[in-house]
Amino acid sequence: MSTASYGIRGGDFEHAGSASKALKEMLKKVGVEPNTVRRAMIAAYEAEMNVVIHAGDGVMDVSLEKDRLELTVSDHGPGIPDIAQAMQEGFSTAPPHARELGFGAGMGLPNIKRNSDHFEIDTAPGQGVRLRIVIQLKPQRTEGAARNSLLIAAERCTACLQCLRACPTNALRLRENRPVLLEDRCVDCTACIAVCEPGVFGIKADDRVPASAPGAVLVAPLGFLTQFGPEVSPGMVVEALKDMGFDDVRIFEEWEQSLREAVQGYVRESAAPRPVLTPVCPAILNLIGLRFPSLVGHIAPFLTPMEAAREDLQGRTAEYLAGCPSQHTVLTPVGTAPGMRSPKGLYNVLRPKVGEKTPVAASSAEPLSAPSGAKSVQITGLQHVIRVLEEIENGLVSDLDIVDLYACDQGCLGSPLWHEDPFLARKRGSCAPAATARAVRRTQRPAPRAGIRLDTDMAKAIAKLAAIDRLTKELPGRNCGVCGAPVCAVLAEDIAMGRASLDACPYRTEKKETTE
Amino acid sequence: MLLKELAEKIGAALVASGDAEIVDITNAYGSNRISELLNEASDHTLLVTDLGTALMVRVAELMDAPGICLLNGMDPKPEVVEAARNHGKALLVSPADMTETCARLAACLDQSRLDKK
Repeated sequence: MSTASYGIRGGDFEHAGSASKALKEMLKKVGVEPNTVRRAMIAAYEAEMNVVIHAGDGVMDVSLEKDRLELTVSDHGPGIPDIAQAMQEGFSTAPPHARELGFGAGMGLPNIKRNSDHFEIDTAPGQGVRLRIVIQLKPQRTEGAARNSLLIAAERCTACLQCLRACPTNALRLRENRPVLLEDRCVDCTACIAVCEPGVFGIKADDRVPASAPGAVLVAPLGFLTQFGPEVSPGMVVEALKDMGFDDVRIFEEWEQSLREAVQGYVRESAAPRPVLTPVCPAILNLIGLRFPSLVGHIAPFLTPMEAAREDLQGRTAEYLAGCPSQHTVLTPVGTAPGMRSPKGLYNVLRPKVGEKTPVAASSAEPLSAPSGAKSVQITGLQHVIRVLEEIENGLVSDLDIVDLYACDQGCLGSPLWHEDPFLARKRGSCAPAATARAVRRTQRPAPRAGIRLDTDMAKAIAKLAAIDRLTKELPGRNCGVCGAPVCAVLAEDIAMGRASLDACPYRTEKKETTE
Repeated sequence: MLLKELAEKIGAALVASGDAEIVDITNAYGSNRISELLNEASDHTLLVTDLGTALMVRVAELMDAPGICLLNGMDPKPEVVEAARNHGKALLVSPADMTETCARLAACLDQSRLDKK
């Protein structure tokens, strides 16, 4: 159980609402779902304002259990002579100066009752008021914050540790010679897929190839259309896809190009902090939310290209072929299930068919064309992306207006799901942006992610930080990975978080002996 | 409809922008009673009121309302504008009164709903 107590000063309209604000922060820290927070805020604010308006001083006592909030708001004011009358909507004894501020509508106590699961008033003339408010709490759903589409075929693992070292967010561990994912930390970036030769990692997509729905349009990345060798142009692949029953095939890069143009317009009109980050790669948005939350305000307020395609094609039967796990994740939100196609499954079906098509001349448009006009740059590959984000965070990138960041080397053509080299793919590819593709405004900023936080309680987080520091000094610093964590500091964190024990390190005694 | 676009359409000045460029407004509610505004506020609701006080910004903050629209061409006090900026809330000033402002907002939001269909 957690408790807190907040003083309320009668007549202090300047600070009125501070106790409710503190309660709100408390509820958000423990992850209460928004509608319950809303109800609690109405009840708490009305109760707090009653003290401010009517009493000399008071106190809000908060008691928070696993699924129950209890507020006791008590004051030493004049008390309520007739509770039944006070509970009637429209009855108020608020003085004129409070009415001028919008209070005194006679709705305070009824509002508290309406938004509580249990409500009691204990009062008598001259003896103050004590309100007891109970609200049942529901936890906030967190699926949206930590989902990913990384498929792990653990039986293929050779325990080479490459994936542990490649992961930019330390989301992977090796347990009993098998990779284990800390899902809250995974940003769907493909770094593990790129370094894993046995092919342990892939995308969570069904490799079966069902018949396409009548009139369906397929949205596919250019990378997929360039996987069939030098003799097969993207146009031939499109024709083969239409033979499979798709009414139309749209290229993902159409929306990517529209997004870039929209961001240029946004930069011209907006005073948003520079450089503005183009939300072209969902994995990078995840990475920013997790490791660089201070840069969330730099992200241009648009949907990623695959999300924009989905919005754009609303009303049509559309199927999507994601070029990486992060594209797959943004297209499969909780509650909806658009047709998702597996690149591997579709490739296997198309491979024998595409050679039969007549060659189609490729256009000269580049899939990863540099934005023009504003001072801009495209950064590809996680190592470079992380270095640039660190520099932006440190205020060292004052010479740029727009930065496009891609997790994969050479952008989406460099997804490790493709076997063709991205430079060859670009040479062979073509992408004439269609006039109908449009960028779509985002209605909510991407939220910082909690996965990297040590604890939702700051005091506990501080204690864990101290433990990590102490444990790191106890460990040998060999960073060998034998314990299953990529480096000693990460093992120290795992121990502090209860995910591992100190016994996991086989070399710990060695350091002790050396020190002695 | 984006809050910034809505402000332009009803002829309101955007004194503090908050998240006006990215927040989608689906509802607006006009009242000079705090209790009513508390009941109707949501993260997609524009609060319309004559109450140009820092207390109103606190109400928007507690209820996650993205913005407040003041009326009659009111010149909000600097501390109110500062409070709105500090808490990331949009502050609009409509030249019209409550009835006219709400009528303009209703027309824009109705049209926006029809366009989305």
